[in-house]
Amino acid sequence: MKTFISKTIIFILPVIVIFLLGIVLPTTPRASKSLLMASVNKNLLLQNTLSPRIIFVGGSNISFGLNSQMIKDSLLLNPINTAIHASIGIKFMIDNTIDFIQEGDIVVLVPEYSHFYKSLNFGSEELLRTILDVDLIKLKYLNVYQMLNIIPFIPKYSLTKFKLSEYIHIKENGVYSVSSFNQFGDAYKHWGMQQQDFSPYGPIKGEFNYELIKYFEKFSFAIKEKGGVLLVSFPGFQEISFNNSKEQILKVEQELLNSNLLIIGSPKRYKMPDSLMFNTPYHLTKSGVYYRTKLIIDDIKKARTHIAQYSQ
Amino acid sequence: MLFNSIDFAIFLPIVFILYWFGTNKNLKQQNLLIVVSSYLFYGWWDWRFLSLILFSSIVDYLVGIGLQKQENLAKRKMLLWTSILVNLGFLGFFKYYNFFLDNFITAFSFFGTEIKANSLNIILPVGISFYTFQTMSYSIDVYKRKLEPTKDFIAFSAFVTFFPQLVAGPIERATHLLPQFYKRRTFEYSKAVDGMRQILWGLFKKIVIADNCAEFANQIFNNSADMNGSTLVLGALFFTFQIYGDFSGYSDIAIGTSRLFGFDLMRNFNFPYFSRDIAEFWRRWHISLSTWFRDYFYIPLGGSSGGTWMKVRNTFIIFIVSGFWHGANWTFIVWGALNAIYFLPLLLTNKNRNNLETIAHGKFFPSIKEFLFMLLTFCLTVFAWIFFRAENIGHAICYISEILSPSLFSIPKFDGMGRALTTIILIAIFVLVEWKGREGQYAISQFGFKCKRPIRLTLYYAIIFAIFWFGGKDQQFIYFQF
Repeated sequence: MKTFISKTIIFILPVIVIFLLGIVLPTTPRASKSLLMASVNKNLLLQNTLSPRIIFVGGSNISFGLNSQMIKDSLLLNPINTAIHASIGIKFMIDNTIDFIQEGDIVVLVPEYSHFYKSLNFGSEELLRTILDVDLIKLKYLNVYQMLNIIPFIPKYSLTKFKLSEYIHIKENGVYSVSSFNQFGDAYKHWGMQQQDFSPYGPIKGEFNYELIKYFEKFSFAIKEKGGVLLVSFPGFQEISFNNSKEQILKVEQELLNSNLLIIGSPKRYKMPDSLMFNTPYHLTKSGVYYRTKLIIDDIKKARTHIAQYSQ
Repeated sequence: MLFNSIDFAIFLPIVFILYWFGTNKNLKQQNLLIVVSSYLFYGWWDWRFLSLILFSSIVDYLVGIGLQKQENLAKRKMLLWTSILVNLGFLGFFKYYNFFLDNFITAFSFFGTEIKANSLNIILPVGISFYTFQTMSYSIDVYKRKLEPTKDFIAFSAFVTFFPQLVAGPIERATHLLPQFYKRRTFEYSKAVDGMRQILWGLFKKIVIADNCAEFANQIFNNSADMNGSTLVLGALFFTFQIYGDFSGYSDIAIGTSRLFGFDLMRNFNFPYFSRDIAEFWRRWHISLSTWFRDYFYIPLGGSSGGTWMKVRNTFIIFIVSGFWHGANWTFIVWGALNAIYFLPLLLTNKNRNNLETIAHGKFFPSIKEFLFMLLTFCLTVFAWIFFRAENIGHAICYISEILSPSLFSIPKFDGMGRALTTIILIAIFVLVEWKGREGQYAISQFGFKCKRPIRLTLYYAIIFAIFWFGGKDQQFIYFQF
């Protein structure tokens, strides 16, 4: 028995050493040009942009779905698009944003629908990479569940450090790279590109995460304490994918409407036709971005009267 | 708790250490630990359904004791039917209620009668089809006096809930597994090492083969209306390897884990895709279920001992019921019926037991004839899997119609074709390893004996790194839904 245990440990040891080595090795050249690195610039925007500000928080439905210049021109607010990738998890996005909130800020939270189911709100591989490749200090934001969610990705992450392709022939991916974002944080490199083929999403699976709504309410309260206001809206989502998860999406809407949050728009309003989608059911073409931004501007304008009441 | 989760990676060593070091190797304590850890294992998924397992265990335990005391045949029958009705009642309610209700309403509306009845939002308890069949086997065997009923409730509960095989089998017979809970278990180094090896291979099958195939199979099946015929063929092939990697991988992990605790579970897969006819396929695929149906259903129905009509009837019944066991959907029934159609010619010409030995026994290459029969059987199986995977019959028919259209000869097109190519290469390597090891209990079971230590270790490390390097996106085990 003891031989079995000691031999098993000795057998596993080299594997663990390789994984640990992968964690401590510096970020690879390829990773340093990745989309996730944009969080450094986005945090600088949060820190340095002057009031009056409007801050957008969410996954790539926001980074690939907003024209902040239009927001600035119509609402006369300084926009900050903090969104990068849904798999960073909405909890981390919220925790990372809250420290930067200033008096008078309007925060627009636009989670992807899948964030409301199972535990995607806690993030996955992209969260791990954001921590280990971009900023280890942000580890302080993670709770046990987030840790458990990202631990399974550590071996794969570590092994990428030993891939030759991570160090040579590095080219920036036009659409998904650190330099794909404009001065407000919008992904814009794809605006001149043709639509790409992609498959719609199937039905969202898993149980509804009621805790997330409570977390949003806490976020809203924390923002209010700092003199800001939180609005919650819905992502621009491809019509076919929308129909595939209609029941789950309507549940999201219902639960948000039942909460103490200020909700703007509706899922149906942000249902996007195929012709406006770029390369995933959440990413919009230039025309799609224009259309969706117009919708959200109208919704924010309508909500402004409520904001005044809410802030009192 | 999933076998491929971090939770299980923590759970297993803790239970293992407690089992061998914390119980003084006392049989009762070991069995109790198995029960507690099994309840924890299952409750991790949904604790509410623990009561179902407990209730099922109590009923079958009491039925067993009642059957021992009772000599009156009518009363014995009544006791047996109590066990069967309770177990099938659970299964019927949780798994089939909505199916029967919906079909009932549809049937009546066909005759112009509208019936208003609401379907219930029922959650299917994980593994219910597996543990109910296992407990029923106990009652039936005690009724037939093939097995002495146990008075040890802890041992019986351990038999019902044994965590490695609780949620997706192998469906053990009481005659095989229950006595193992009465015997003192000693740690065997070679058995434990073999268990670890089988777990490793099971994880490779699940994480590298099944999870990678799942990504493409799901994409193609979910969007089949937009795909051309050649892509749909690829989708069916991806699903073929997904379901094999997924389910046989689970069985390997279950069997390997049991060996760590000193138990031997029955074999569940025996390289089914290397079968030369469909009868051989069914002797090699989900063996624990097909033999369960054979022993407790097919033979009591008369088996193949009657006339031609009896053989045809029983074959169809057994395959359709087996299909229906998988889920409350007509697709599974058609899948079962299709397999019956494949099987019948062999049965009627008495060729259903032609291929009992492993293909190309003792040789590396099969003969051309063997290869062609193997290919034909594989194609028939792939075709049947389309029904198994489809959302409904209409979906399956559209899928097959598109395959049979001229678009079959166009170039496949779907998202992530580069990654799909890597998956195809992995499948090719996997098939080669399985072929090489087809005479063993599992593909790499012989590597331990035939290879030198450095080669063996290199192979194990290669598998471990392949799991992490090429591992697909985490997917639920398919058979959990059954």
